[in-house]
Amino acid sequence: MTRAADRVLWPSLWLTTLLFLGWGLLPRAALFTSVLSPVRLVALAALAKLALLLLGTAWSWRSRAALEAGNPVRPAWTLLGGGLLATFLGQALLARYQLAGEPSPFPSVADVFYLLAYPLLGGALVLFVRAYDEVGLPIGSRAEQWVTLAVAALACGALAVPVLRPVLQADLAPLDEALSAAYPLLDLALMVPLALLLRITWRFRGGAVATAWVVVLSGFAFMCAGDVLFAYLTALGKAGLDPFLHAAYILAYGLVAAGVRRHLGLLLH
Amino acid sequence: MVTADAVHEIVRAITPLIGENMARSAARLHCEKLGIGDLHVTHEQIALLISRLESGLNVFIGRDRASSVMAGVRQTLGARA
Repeated sequence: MTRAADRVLWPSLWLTTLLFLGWGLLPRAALFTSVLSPVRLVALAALAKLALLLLGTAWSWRSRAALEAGNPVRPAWTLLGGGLLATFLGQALLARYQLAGEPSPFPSVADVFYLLAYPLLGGALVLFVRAYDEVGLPIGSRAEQWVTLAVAALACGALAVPVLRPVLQADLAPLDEALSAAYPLLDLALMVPLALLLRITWRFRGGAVATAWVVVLSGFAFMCAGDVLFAYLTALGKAGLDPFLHAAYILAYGLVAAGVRRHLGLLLH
Repeated sequence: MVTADAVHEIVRAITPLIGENMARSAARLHCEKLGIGDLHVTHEQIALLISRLESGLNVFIGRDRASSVMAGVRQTLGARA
């Protein structure tokens, strides 16, 4: 089942991502001015994001259901599915504009759901780390984990300055500015448990568990990249880089969904 | 039974799931905790070692799959003894 899902998901994901990268690099190419007009491409991006988020949500909850009651990672899967569902709902609210060829409003009610996703996703990552820490496998000493946390927190703190500067210097309405700053800040906060999970994953290298986690965590990394790019574009008032934004989010949601599917495959095999 | 043979069999079974590095480290850690010597291991110690590793696998692959993987190891090591 995993192989069948992989056979469809991976080629579709690469093809769609490359399409949007192509649009960003060659916006005046005949393909992007006639057959696949910008309006159609934005609608395609909306549908792709919705489909991938829905798959990620469904597979997270199936992973939860496949685990026996009392398994310590069950709550983590619940939160991960909840975070992806919140993102799906946010995207669904914007999709009606994107499918109609209208510009997406910002800020909007969709931002409530996008913001709600952060504590759910962050909570999921923390619960995964805690559960893995408690099973008695050698995933690293407390000192190693604290060093990883400290390095990740310092790196994120250092990144926050250049990321936030254009947002805070831009002439934006207070709510626009607060939200434009909140997304990259929350992403950077998400990077801290993500770094710890990546450190743990490294110890499982060569195994199917590590492969599944690398795919999921790569998705989160692209999600952060997309949010930082979005904050920049909002601050600078530029729309020409939107195709790259779509590519980043499609790849992010696709990688998270594909990684979650691999985890589910491990449970159902 | 020779400890190295038993550990090798266990590591071989769980490596595709958690990688060789973690499989060896986890086996070594639990051998130390259970007081398993370098030369010989008893059936009771093997049973405990498998049980400990199975508990560790539960969070990654679920109880049913972990139990299924370790059932194969129990069978192999039981037949060899």
